[in-house]
Amino acid sequence: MTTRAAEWGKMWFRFRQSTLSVLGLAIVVVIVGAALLAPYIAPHPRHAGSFVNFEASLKPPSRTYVMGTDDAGRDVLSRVLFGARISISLGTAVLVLSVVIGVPLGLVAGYWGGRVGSSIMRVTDVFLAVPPIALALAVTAALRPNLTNAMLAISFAWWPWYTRLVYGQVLSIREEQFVEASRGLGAGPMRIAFREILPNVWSPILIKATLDMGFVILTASGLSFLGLGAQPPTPEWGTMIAEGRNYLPGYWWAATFPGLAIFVAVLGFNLLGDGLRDVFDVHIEQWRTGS
Amino acid sequence: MARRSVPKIVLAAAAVVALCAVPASVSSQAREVPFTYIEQQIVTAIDPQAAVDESSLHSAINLYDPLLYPNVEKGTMEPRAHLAESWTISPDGKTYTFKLRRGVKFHSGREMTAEDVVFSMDRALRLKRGFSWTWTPVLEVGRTKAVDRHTVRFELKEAYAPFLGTLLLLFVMDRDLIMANLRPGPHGEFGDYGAGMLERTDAGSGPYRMERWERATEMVMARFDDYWRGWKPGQITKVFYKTVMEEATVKTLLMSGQADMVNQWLSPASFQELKVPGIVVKEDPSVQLFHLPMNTKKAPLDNVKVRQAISHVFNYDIAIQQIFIGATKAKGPVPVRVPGWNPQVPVYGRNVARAKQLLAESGVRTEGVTLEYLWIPAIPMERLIGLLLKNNLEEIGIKLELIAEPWSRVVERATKVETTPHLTAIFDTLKYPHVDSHTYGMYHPSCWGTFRCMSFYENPAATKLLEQARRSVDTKEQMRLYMEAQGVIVRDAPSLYIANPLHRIAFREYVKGYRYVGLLGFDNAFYDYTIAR
Amino acid sequence: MSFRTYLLRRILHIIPVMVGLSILIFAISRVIPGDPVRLALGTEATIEQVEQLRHQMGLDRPLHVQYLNYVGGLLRGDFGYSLRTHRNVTKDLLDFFPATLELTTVAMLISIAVGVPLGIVSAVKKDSVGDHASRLIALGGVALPRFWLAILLQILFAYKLGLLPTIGRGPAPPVAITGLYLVDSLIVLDFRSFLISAKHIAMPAFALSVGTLAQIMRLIRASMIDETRRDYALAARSYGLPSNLIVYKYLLKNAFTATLTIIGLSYGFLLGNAFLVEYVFAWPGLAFYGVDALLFKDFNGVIAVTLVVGMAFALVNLLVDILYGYIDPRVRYGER
Repeated sequence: MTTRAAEWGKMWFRFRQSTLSVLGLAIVVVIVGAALLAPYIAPHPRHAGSFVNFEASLKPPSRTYVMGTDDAGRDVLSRVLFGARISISLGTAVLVLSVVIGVPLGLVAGYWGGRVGSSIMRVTDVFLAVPPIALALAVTAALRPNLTNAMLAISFAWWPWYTRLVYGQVLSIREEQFVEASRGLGAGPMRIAFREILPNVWSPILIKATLDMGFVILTASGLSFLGLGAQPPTPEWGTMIAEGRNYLPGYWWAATFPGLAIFVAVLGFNLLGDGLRDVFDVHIEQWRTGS
Repeated sequence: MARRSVPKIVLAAAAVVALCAVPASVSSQAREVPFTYIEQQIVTAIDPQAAVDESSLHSAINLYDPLLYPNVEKGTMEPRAHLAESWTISPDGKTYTFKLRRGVKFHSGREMTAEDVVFSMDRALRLKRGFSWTWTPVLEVGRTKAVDRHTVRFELKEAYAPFLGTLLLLFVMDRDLIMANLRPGPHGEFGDYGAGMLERTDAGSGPYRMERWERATEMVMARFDDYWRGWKPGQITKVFYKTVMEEATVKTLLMSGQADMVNQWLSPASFQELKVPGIVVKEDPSVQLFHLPMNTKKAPLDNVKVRQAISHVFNYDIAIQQIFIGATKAKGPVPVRVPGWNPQVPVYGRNVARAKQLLAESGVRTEGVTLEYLWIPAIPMERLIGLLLKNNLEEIGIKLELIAEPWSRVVERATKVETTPHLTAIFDTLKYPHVDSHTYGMYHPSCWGTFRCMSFYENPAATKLLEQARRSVDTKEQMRLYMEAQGVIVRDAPSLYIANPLHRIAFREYVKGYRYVGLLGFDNAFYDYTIAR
Repeated sequence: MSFRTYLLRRILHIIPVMVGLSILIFAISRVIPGDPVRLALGTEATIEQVEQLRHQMGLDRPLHVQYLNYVGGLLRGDFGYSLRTHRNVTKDLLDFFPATLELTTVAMLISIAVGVPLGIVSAVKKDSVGDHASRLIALGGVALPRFWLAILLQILFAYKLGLLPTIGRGPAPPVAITGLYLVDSLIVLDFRSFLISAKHIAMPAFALSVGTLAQIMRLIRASMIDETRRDYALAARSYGLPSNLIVYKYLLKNAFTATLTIIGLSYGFLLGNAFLVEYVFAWPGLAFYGVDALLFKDFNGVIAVTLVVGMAFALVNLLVDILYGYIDPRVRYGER
């Protein structure tokens, strides 16, 4: 058995010790599973699209419609399941974009330093000076309201957190022995930054991304709530709350189940992220982000 | 600032305490009759000549008196005497002379005279905001004259059919008060024309005076003791007019008794929910039009057959019965209850085969065509209509994309042909009690660029008929022309005419005297209500 | 480095950030599609009127000139004319800011009062049922969509139970001194007004605090667990000091310095959430004003709110850093 496998085994053991972490993992698996399998497990897959049936609007939960129907007579359960698809892909897109933009900038700023580095960090500071949702709101105002633009607006406000994270990590390891060693071997700065340093900052990035997944979903639902996000008939959770909230409290199911879906998903990603952080024993400034 | 004036605030506080915390203590405030009204749209201006939306008009209607008033007692919108007691019209329809009521006092205590009417009209024409557009075609500064202290005369450039109706929106302002509070501004000797002062307070003679206006959240209006129509016991002495946007919150306020009346913009399902003991949901057939103007200058809607095909594929029955839950199908642009509506106007019904045939005849290829449908998130029904239309259009192979934008943005996109979407959801209430509002006001090229004219409709025959109608002095001939114009317009299908919805409003059952008027804002004249607990 | 130099350096750091923020938000506001001037004047304004107001507001000049004019105004405390409220944005800010300050402060106090004990319990009884329960509560709080929670609270407390008013801030206390209703009513010893204001602020403050509460709880827990692993705690324990004493005397002291930083850092989180909470509760604060300005494309309003939020955030963090630097001199030398 290789030492690497042993290392992973040890980590998995430590992860399993925490009931909450395992719960988080289970939730995430279920949600990602729902996202992948939605077309096969949804009782009424057509209801996620442009289907309408006004005769059946706002029916309470029953055997046919386990979570009731919304104001266009569509099955809430099917839409919640398809909503997982949208939320997960939106979250992934925002985080991938943030990582792709934020991480190289952080690497450059941290490793090269100097004027370039400090300019990058100055710009980053500007973005970090306001809560992400405030910035995302301002950006959506400049764009046509739809899912893609909501994604772009959130990414616009999100990448600096990764620059900042990577920057901090790079500063702390750039003087370490293995970096010094490869520098001694004549490796160029590009090679050192991307081949030597980057692999060592992946774990905090991944942990932060796990934790952020939930916050991105929350932020997107906030934009949708104000009518600046996904457009009907897209079954996005935030849009579904926005559409169903008018019918509270009488027709509670239309907004409650998508709300619960968000709650459970965010909770799952948070528990998982927390668990991973404990296992990898890394510290990241998570608390400043969030919706 | 009103907030610093101690006694008023103590009163207000006491009233709110009575409302919010301890309902039982109302009896200790025997003379005060408080009333809380909830509106979902922000009051944008309390200057009556800057008001364009219903909520802003509410402030004008309660703080000011218009020259004429809709005949609410008879249940019609026809203008009746109010500040003007009587009037005469010259045979050529160009000169209107009004005798003013004596003894009408402004909130300042001064008596209203003809000079105030002249001042108000000239101010509207110079400021060019609010509803001044209803007068600019026929009036200019200098054409309104004070004949004597209590007589005023308007000398129009040409005969103008809807003129009397527009005077329901001429709110008379206290000239001396405004002139004494001028600030520097762009209007020469008139400075800012009192715009600064009218951001905080009022200059009217209406039943209520402004006590406190907290922008975007609350307006408090108190009874004006010397109001010329007098006061009876049980009438409301203090109005708390609150802005709350969330529909669920609005319902909560009414159901928990923290509000006495809530506005008309809730969804039909919510009104259904409010039908519980203690609450009255009043439903009246409205004189409102819900339609989807089609941009006739944007391909493929520039082809009349495509527009007719869309008019034939839409499922009107579902829209009326299941989305609006009780509405009248719209028959042309004029709401069916408005005098001058043409009962012979062609009506499009659902006929998919006909729609397909029309589309084929049009020669327009629809593969890959996506139309844009614009709606505002504040009105859920518009989303449902969009979803229904999307479904129906798929039957003839046309795709529809739903886009929600706030009302302000709709207004703004309407200014240009290029930015105006293919279809837009529009609720259009009569602006003045005349068929002209929903014909000339929507389909004459002079209105292009406003939200009322998002069809950019152009047909010389219709334009000519509308112009003749407006200038016509003989009422019968005038109505015939307006009716003929409706026929021409509807055949061109510039809009998808959907419904004349029910007007709904909900209030606690102890509120008496509410009546639906139909004209923008006039049903919320709080002077008309009494509280019978 | 002396404390004074440290202070100065810290203050100077804010300036480029605020300048950058003003450029960024100015740029965003200028690419907002559409014509706010046309919007402001209403549907029926003529082209000449639109052009006249555009000229009055200097919107027909080159962008960099507009920006410099704007900054010039800012330095005189003038945030420009609001196309939405038709008056100076500075006046609007003065009207709306105290409400937000009051709301966020109360929410922060609730977060600390609940979050710190939960964090301590969680850390001390690590991996116990209590730890799991408090972590679940805390993480659950973060995971709730705020606007959804807000509506549910309204239905429960205002409608079903009839205990609290649904919306708004209530009437102003008789005397306006600070603009914070709770403080003003206490100054004049008007307990009735105080009670009314407290009832109004309870729900929005609670809805706002759940997220921050969780963050605080989480960080207290993490930092205390860190501290238990430190040498001095081990040393103290090896001296045979009772573990309760260690918890309260050593660990708590360190935990409180951590709390201090967290307050500063989570303030941004709080302000961000205020945008949705104020909207649902019709709380007449800055975020409410901001959302309205945004939906109405009132760019002077949007810029002003963003700048004020950024400024408030920067100031809170500055304050925390100063306190921190004062308590812990190591910070001044850049060891942290």
